[in-house]
Amino acid sequence: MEVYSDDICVVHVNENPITLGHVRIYPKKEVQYLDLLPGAQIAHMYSLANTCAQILFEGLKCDATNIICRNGIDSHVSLEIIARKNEDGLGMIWEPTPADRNTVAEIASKIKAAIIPVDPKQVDDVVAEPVPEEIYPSEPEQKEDEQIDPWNPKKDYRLDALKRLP
Amino acid sequence: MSQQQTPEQIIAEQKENCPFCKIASGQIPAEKIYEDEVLIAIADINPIGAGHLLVFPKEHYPLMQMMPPEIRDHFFSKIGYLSKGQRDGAVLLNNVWFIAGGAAAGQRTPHFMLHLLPENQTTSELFTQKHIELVQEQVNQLGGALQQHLGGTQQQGQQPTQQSPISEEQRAQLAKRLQEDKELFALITQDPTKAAEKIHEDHELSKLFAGVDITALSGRLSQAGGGQ
Repeated sequence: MEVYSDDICVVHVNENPITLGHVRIYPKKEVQYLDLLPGAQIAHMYSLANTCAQILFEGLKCDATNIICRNGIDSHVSLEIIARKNEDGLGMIWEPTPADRNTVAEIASKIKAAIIPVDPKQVDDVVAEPVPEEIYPSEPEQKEDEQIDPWNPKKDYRLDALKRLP
Repeated sequence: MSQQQTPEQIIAEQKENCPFCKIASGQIPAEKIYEDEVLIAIADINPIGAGHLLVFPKEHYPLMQMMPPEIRDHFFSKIGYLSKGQRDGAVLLNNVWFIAGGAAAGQRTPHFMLHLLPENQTTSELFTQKHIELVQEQVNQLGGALQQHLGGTQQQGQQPTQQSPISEEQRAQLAKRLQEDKELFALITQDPTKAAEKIHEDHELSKLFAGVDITALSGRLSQAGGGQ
């Protein structure tokens, strides 16, 4: 079910979800890796993902959200926003296991070398492209005669959100 | 005295003991991969596989939702470069960008971060999930809420991307009718399904409302009505 679309991407409620509250954001351009898109477009998609996560959190009263992008798995990459409940059995959590420091350092230096060729100026140019303005939180809607609607939250969500942190 | 802490107080307390704030300020050493004025990328010392990176803002934000939009945009506009570098440097075919917002999603520290994970057997198993049966009504409700929040705001933008299937003349007639007919207005805002039935039964009304999505109209009217 398509719920939003613009020049850059399209937002779908997943029709074949892994849990209730599974939203996908596809870039309009069919790419296998999200990093093939300009930085500003990636930022725009995450801005939408941020809003979607917020709506899932408030509207579904879920305990947490994941935002996951698996690059290279499908021919058309997508950002997935997944509503999580405590002990929902989905897993997607791993045990941190210490690795050999030298090995970590070695790979780190290789990655670092692979990133260096990027000209920081060029990066900033990309950032400077206009990114559509923030769309959440929207103005609280005034309705008389109404009870609290979880889909239209008005209170400061941060206290609730902070309780769900480790 | 109130026992309830404000979000600001909670965040200030978290910051004092936050290892990632200390990495950002240089008090704790780390394998830095990239750093600029907003963000820092390091190699995870407890990796899920070779090449696991952590990318986080230097400032302490417990959740992504708490990042100011300009910081967030800067942050995500750089992830692509780091991601490509990770694949090239660690010789990976695929990788995963992973964010956990809340403990139930796997967040372990109250400092927002993005994991750049290598795609390997472990992560592949981790993220391969069974699909569930669709509960259409709930999906519709969720879809409606998202539409309202995402699509509704887009209309306020500069570009009138919304294509209207109805003519200007019809729109004017409709607006006039809705202004005069308070009863109809109320019915549409309060019970769009019933309103749609009524309109369908009435010849004059169905002509006036031809091509109009009553549910969408209802949403817009109640939004506009509340704002005035």
